[in-house]
Amino acid sequence: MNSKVKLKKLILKGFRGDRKGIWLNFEDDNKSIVLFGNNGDGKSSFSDAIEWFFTDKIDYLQREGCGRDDYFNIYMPPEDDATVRINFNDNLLDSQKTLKRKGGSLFSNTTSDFKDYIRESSKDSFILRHHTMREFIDKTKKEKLERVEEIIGFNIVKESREALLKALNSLKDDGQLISLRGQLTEKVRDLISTVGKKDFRENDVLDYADQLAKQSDSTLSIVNDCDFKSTIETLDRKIKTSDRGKKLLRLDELNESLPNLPEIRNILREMNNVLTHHNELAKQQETIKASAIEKLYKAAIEAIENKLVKSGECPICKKPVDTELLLKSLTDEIEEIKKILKERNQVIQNAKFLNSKVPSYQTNIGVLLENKVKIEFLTTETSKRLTDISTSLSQYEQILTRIQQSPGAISLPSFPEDLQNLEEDIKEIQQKITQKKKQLSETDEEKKFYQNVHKLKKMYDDYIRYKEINKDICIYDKQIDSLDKIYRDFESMERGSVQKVLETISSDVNDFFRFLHPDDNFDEVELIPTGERGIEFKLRYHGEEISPPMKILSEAHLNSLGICLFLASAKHFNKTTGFLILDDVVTSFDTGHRRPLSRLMSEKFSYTQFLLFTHDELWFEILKKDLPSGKWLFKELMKWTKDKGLDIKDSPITLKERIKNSLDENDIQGATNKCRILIEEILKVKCENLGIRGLEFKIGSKNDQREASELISALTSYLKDNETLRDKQSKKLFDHLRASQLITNMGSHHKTLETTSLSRGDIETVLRDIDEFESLFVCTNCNTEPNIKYSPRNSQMKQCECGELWI
Amino acid sequence: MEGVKSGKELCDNFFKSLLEKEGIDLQVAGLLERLYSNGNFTKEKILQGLRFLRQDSENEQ
Repeated sequence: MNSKVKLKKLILKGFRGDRKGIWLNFEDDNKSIVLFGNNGDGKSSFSDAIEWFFTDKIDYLQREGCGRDDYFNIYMPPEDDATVRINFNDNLLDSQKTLKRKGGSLFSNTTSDFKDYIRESSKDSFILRHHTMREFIDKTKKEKLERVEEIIGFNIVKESREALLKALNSLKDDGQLISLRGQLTEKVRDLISTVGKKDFRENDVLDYADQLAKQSDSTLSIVNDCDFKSTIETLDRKIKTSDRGKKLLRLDELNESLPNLPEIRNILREMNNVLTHHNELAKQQETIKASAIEKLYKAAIEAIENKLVKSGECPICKKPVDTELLLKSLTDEIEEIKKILKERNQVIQNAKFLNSKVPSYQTNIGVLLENKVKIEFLTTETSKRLTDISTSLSQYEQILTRIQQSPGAISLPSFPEDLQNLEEDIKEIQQKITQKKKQLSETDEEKKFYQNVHKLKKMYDDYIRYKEINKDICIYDKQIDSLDKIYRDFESMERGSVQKVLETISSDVNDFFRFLHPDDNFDEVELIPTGERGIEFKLRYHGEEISPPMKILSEAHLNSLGICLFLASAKHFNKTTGFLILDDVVTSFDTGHRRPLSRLMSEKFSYTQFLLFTHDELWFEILKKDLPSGKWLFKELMKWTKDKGLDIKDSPITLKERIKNSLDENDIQGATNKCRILIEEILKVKCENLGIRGLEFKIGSKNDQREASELISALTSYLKDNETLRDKQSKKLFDHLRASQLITNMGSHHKTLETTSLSRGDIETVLRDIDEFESLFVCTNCNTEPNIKYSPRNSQMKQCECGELWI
Repeated sequence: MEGVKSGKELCDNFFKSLLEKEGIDLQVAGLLERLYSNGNFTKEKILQGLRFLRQDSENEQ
């Protein structure tokens, strides 16, 4: 913990609210600091300077459209650069960063240690501002998960998972694999047709081959792949011994390449249909492109359904909108996108399947277009027709490949006109082959022999090709299965780790939240994974499970949850930064929860250096009492002026000292306000000491605004009940304090009214009234006040330490 | 952070133990482990590596 980097001194010059140079000195032991300043006095200049120093930007200003030009103090000479210097507990990291007028910025420290430190610290989250404290809570479930993954440095996990998934999907969709599957289907179909069985089994092929082999030569036998191969070789040798045999075999091979050619007409027609379907979809290519923002639509629906945005407001552009109508329109849009994408996917699959058939047709056409065959069997027209068909097949194949890449419309290639004559051509070729075979005058026995041998050879070729293709597909499948398992294992490892992180954060968020709200019946605050990839807060309120928290939590509680999450993640994930900046984050906290926050900082973050900025005087006073002065500094910002810019002074520890300082500076308004706070503080202490519990509890901020007059009334009624301090002098002092409370209340709440402005004399009188009132409660003997802690149990009145004064 | 590993630690451990996992092709596991260690763990590199492995297997047949 102690090795983390802390601040020793922060010096600004010409940056944001500062003009002439100002610094915050955290002293040698890197003390924490509470900086009080009214709104507009420039507190945020310090947090802005630190944010810019580390990240080169000021995020909330950037989101408001402000750029680097707005970081310069507007009253500075236009040629001057602005600087922010930070000295750290490790002086090797000390550096000044210059914001250059001409553009860019420059660190004075150029060591690799410093560069490493800046790079590492950029991963830490150490600034919480009032307007960003609920940022996380208001995010969608998916954004919450992404933010947590970012905080805990899971980017590498996310990137690795995405690379694995993309590779897996691409492999499943690999064009060569789809082509192989198409070819395998063809070969299986051919083998089934040859064997004459309904289903495909390798043994059926071998059995049938065995039958044919025996018919050709009774000594032959096929029981396995090796037998099949040697049988084919034996028969081949037998045929090649005669010239007639060779010729007959060649004619049979030629005949074999003919039957599937008429199918080309259907294939080309199907290809044409796919392209027409593609062009229909291309008219809706805007919808296909919109699929890129489908996630945005889903997030918008989720934000509306979880009431993360105001009703009647667009969650994206924030413009007024009919929420119901928007919800319906977004849902319809997503449905439309899904429908179109499904159709396009079908088109792509069909295109891949048809393309996988093209090579075998091209091979068969190629056989017929060989010179020798062409001269012997083809007319000029048939030859031209087959050449045209081959060209058309190539064109369609190319276009079908192209549409898989782009959803845009394409022009259809011209459809071959004279496909009608193809069947006639084939018949003509077959007749010529039959004629040629007759000329070779086969006997019936020879005829049967050659037919069997030819059938066996064709079967063997199909069978071997089937085996090769199957082997290639197996290699693919093995890789797909492995990648799929690795992906699932990786995802499960990631889920488990995120779960562990969530449990760790949740445990602290729950501890901190209950620390801040001990009496509010909240329990089991957790961050939990949701169905899809996302996370959400869940908690129990009076035993009932609530998620998301905005269903039940007030603004103040949600802000409190924001602080708890910030502190919990800082505790676990800030690796290098040993300081945290809380910039005006307690404004929306009710008073009851401010003291627990100061205790939370002291007790649970004793090693952390805090920079706490506030414009709330009352809380500033509380902090001065609650936080150990040895570890904390208390500073006040003077009123910002054009000439001086920012100005800081040490804050006196007591409020009375601060009132006197205000009077010395002729700040009557400031003194009046502090007097009001002082009276409230004194009355609260008196009521607390005497154990006065008659005050009605008020929820939330109303409890903060409890008027001092209520405290006086409660105190008066206690004294009346106990018949104490009822003498004339005491009553007079009570009346004086009541009057002082009234005029300071008027003076501080109605500061714009001339008639209510007070004078120095008024304030001095108020201070006298306060002193005299306080003296009523102090024992002249032991100098202590009557207090519940010195008094017997259940005693109506309370005594001082020595027992001489009873009130 | 006690008890919870960083993203890098998790990935390091996962890919290191890949070769010991059951039901995974050793060549694929080795390829992924190598690509990760060399900082080349992208979809393109994975697919390229798998293609080379398939070619090697075909040549061996």
